[in-house]
Amino acid sequence: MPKQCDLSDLMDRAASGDQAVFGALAAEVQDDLFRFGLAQGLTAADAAEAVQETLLRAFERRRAWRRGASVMAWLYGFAMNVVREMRRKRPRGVGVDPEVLADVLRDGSAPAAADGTSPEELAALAAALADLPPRQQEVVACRYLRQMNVRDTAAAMSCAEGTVRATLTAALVNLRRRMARWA
Amino acid sequence: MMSGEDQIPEQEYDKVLKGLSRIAVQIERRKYPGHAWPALRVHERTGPRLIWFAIPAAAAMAAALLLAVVLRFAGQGTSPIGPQGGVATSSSADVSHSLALMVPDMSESLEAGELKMELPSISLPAAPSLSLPSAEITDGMTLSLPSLSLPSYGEKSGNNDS
Repeated sequence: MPKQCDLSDLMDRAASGDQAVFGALAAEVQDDLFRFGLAQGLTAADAAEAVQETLLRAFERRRAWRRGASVMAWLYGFAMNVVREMRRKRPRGVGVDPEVLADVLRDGSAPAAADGTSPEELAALAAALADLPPRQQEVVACRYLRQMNVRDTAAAMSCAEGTVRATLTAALVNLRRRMARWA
Repeated sequence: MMSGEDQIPEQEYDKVLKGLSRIAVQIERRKYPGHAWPALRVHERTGPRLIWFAIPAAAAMAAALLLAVVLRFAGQGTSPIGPQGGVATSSSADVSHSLALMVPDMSESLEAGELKMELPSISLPAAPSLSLPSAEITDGMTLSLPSLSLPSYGEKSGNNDS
């Protein structure tokens, strides 16, 4: 992940009218935004499209940037809205992109293969992720697939931090129940 | 921790977290496959949009239609009530003519502030006379009825009883 101070400096200059700087900022954050889309259950093609749309919205709203705020949290807010719109167009998500899941199943390197989870269990976990309610899927993706802290997760989801914790607990219970049923 | 039927073995909880961790590791290896910052799309998004042309065009069309309707009445010197007292707003000459005939012309009946309405006379067609053949008693005992003949329908002939 890019350094926050560098991103803040780039965003400050882009917001004050230097449009070329926004291109440099986009190059710094596009990989993170792409992974964010993948973690939210988009396919690789949809995640790439979501990156473009997120950057365009951020460019349009660059005047609304507040100095000192977290650039990634600000961008994740746009990205989450884009992801939600894409999910509305596609009623049932994939949970985990099939290519990513295939790579996970193929990956025999340590420590991935040493944790004792079988390929069938991983496939069941991906299916369970897709079956979660949208909010629970979002919070699991932010907290466990992107390792975002509670504050950034709450900012991205436009909700309170307590809501993030409660939703995460409910999501884990749901996932555990489904995995237990699978076992 | 949960209790009762919601009790789930702890190892299943671990499996969920470990599975999520493996997926997270694989996602972290991915890179954005798209192009660099799309200057062309920014221009398309921030450039002039079709809506800014569509709104004035629609307003101009509405104004032109309104002006055409106003000029049509003003240019012909007509009012919604036709010269013969009938409703003349219809664009069809036949319809306006037939409507004018339905309303009586009262222009000649107005004299010195008096309103005299001359109702058109209505004459119903005369009812057709019905004449039944009379029956008569010829000799005080015998009633002779006129013979009734039903009209024949078609050229049916022969016996229908079979």
